[in-house]
Amino acid sequence: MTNPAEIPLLRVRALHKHFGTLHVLRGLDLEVPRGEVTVVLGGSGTGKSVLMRQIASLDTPDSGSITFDGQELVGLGERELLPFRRRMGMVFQGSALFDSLTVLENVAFPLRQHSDLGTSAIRERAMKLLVALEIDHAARKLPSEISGGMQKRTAIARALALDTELIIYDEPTSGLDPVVSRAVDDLIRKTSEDFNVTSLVVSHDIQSVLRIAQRVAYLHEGRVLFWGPPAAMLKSDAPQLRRYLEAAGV
Amino acid sequence: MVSFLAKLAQYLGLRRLGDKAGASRKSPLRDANPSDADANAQSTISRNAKITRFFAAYLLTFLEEIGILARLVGETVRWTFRRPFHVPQLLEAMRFIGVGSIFIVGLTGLFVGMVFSLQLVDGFRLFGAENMVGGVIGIALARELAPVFSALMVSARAGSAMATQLGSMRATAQIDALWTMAVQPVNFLVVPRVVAATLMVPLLTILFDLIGIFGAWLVGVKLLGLDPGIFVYRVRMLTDPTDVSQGLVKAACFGFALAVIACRQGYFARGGAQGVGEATNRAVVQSAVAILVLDYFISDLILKFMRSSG
Repeated sequence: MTNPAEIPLLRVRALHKHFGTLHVLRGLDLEVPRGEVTVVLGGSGTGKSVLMRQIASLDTPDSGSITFDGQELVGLGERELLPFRRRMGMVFQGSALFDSLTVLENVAFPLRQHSDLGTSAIRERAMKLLVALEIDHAARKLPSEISGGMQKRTAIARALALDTELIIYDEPTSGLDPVVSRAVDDLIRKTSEDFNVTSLVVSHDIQSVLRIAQRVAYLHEGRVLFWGPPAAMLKSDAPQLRRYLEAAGV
Repeated sequence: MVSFLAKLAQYLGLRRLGDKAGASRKSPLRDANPSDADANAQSTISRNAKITRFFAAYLLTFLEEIGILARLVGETVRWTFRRPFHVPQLLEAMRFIGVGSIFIVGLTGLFVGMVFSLQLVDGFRLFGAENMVGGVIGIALARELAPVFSALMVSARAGSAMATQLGSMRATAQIDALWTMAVQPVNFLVVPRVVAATLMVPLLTILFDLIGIFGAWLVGVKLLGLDPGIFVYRVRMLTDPTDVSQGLVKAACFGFALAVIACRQGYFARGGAQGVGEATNRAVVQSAVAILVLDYFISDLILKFMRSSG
């Protein structure tokens, strides 16, 4: 009998997605092991963000299967998806913080919506997350008053507010300078370890991938061309992947 | 109907391609003697097809818009009566739409009442009927002017803001973020705004009524020398509670319509900053048109109902 811990937290099978005549995902398969940082790597237009949207149930695939903790997500109604959404957090490319709420209120938002905690308990919990992510000093600031890196930290804190098991990061280092990018990478690894969450990161930043990934899935033309540890990726002789790595200077 | 029109548009598109293909096919007769009449006939057919395609596309867009609005209305009504109820969001929307519009609606009401009084006294003097001014203004304000102007003002102030807020949220993935946090965006963003507008526009209409009458009294009595007692008596005698209530029914309908239109435009906005700007523009224009069109049909319905009920 299979140990439940060995079953991947997320499993994608034969996923297809069209936009009109454009066939973006072409029978994509992917596994995201529990507790690890898996990075989906690929060039522009290879379907990375589309894949994230399907996994986060923001969009519906044309066919295929997405299972989370062994349970099928494709075909579920909004109501049935709610418990799964609470177990997944998402950090968007632009952070997607609510601009009318302070940093603290942003982190407290999911708790206000889904927990029975009182106002002070919610504040306390949100503040703990801000302390853990070293952004408590900006608790009363609005998102527009803080830097991109701090916005990312806030978004991660918000994603962790509920009982999150999987955090999906969409291009977390895009638009950030190398120093902040490195800090965000460290934060992703640290968050994964400290909070024992599985991370799925979409990126085209190869340096970032090599820093944080325990598994890499290289996407090419809507399919996973390579899946494995970063060290194995560097030794891969798949011509498309080699071209990508050489272009990235690796 | 929509699929029929889609097929029609597709057919016309294919026909056009077919025409091109047909033109490239070698016809022995045409090759031998290409006449101007033939070319003219071809050009007329092509022009007619273009015109038909143009109108079919417009009709399709219109029907699509109606479909999107109908779905949003359905979702909004469904979520209005389902948990969770976002009371803080509702109160905030009521504050923004209602309290925030008091000044602009009051100011508009004052000047509408004043100018209406100015014109009516001037006109009614020709017939020696200036004593009727108070009553006529009362009826006009209660039935038409107050609900329509209040709704137009709310649409310009709050409707545009709603479209911009939701459009910006769409552009910066905040609506997607709500989904990922297991918060239903229609329930959280649209329902409070629609409910608040439906409740607040009638209240603003009452304010418009009162300030409008005051403005009319100010100009009629203080400036143009009408008898104050007769002015007030005519207002009370001619303006029935049913006039006020029909104005309030209209105002509630206008509030609902303007909020749904503003939310539809913002919620489904596409294309970044430019898309948000266009959505806001469409929200204001469509709301204004909808208010005036609805005004006619609701008035007609109410009058028919009142006549039938004696």
